[in-house]
Amino acid sequence: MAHTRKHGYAILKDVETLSEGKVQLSNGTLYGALTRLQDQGLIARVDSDEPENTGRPRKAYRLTQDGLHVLNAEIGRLQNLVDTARLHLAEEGT
Amino acid sequence: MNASANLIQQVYVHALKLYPRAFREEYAEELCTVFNLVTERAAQTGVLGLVKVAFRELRDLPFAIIAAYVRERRRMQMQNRLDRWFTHEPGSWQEILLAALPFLLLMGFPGILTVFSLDKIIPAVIGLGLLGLIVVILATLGIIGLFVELPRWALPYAGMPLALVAFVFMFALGMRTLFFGDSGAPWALRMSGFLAIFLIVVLGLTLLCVWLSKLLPLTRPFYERVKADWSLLSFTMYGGALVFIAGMYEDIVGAGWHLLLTLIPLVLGIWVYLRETRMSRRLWTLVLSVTAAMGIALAANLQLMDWVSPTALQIGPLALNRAVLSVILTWLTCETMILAPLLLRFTTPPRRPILAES
Repeated sequence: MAHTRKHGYAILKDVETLSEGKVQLSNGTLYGALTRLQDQGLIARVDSDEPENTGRPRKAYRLTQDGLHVLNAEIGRLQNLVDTARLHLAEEGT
Repeated sequence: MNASANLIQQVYVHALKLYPRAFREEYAEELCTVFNLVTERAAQTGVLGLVKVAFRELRDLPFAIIAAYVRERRRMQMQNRLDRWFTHEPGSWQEILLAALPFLLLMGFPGILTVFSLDKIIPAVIGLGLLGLIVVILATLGIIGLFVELPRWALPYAGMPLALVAFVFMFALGMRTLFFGDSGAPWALRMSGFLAIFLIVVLGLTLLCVWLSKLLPLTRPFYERVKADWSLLSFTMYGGALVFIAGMYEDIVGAGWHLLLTLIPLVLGIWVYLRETRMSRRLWTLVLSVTAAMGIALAANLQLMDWVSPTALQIGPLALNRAVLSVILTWLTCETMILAPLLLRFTTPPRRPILAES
């Protein structure tokens, strides 16, 4: 969703693929999260890019500018955590 | 498609009814589409895959529903007083009353005044003041309707100014002189031409407003609703028809009972339109209501006109005078206004069938 708009089904499949099948979201959970993120202004619900008559949802979701900032901040935070953990491991090993 | 998948999808459609109404209106179609795609993919892996999907959904559904209700509650709390007063359940008496108010005020009020002969007692200045007050009330309600995202009750309020603006636009372009000046052309032809151009202008203005509503965040929900249900524009035009129907009584005196009688089919039309779910029935209700109202207006014209209307059209032995022909042409104009938005249905693609995953 960071670079392109995605409909609900594509997001479900992405989550499944990225987690190597470990996380399989239900519709209820997915849309609970999507509405919450919308309310927070982190994603926006827009018309889908999908061509007509594909059976795909007509609405899609894309990251907003605020969402992009939060995503970058979260990546930075996790990167710091990983770096700190690695540093501790290296110190303990020496 | 797999019968088990089909069954699960049907159950899911019913389960969605447990969500709050506002959430359902916004997301139900999308949730169904996604769920159908998920179940159809799972069906390819066998019954076990389907059972897993059903179980997962069933497990999370209560939490999702509770979360949706909490969200709705929060949103309701954030909504202002306007929404609480002017946003009502579809088909509720409040919605019907608000939609019928322009009809009640513009036809019922002068009707009652005439029936009780109050129009002869009340000085002209007070009469004009009361008319001004009605206009202010209707304009205020129309603006409020705009601020609460143009719900269905507000649509006739939009139809009235659309018709009036179309008339003003035509008069500004000199159409009145063009059609009703000393052109020498038959009156019937001039009147038909005038109304045909009016139709083009009013429908053009309506489409312009729909397009503009797409651009503004305040009216964007209205645009989305119109895309899904073109009959909303017919209901808007129903308000425009009121301008014509009220205009039918312009030249006649003492038509109080006729005005009140005209209200019955018009308000009945609103009642059925707002309560009926099938689009075809809603449209036919509006068509029949306007026809009945015009029939009463025609009777009033024939019974109460105090001047002899000249013959406007001779079809064999049948001689139609201007008053009768005017009502017929106005009736045709109103019905075309109401039915024209139906044509827009064919410009939008049909709803997608739920397909298997490609």
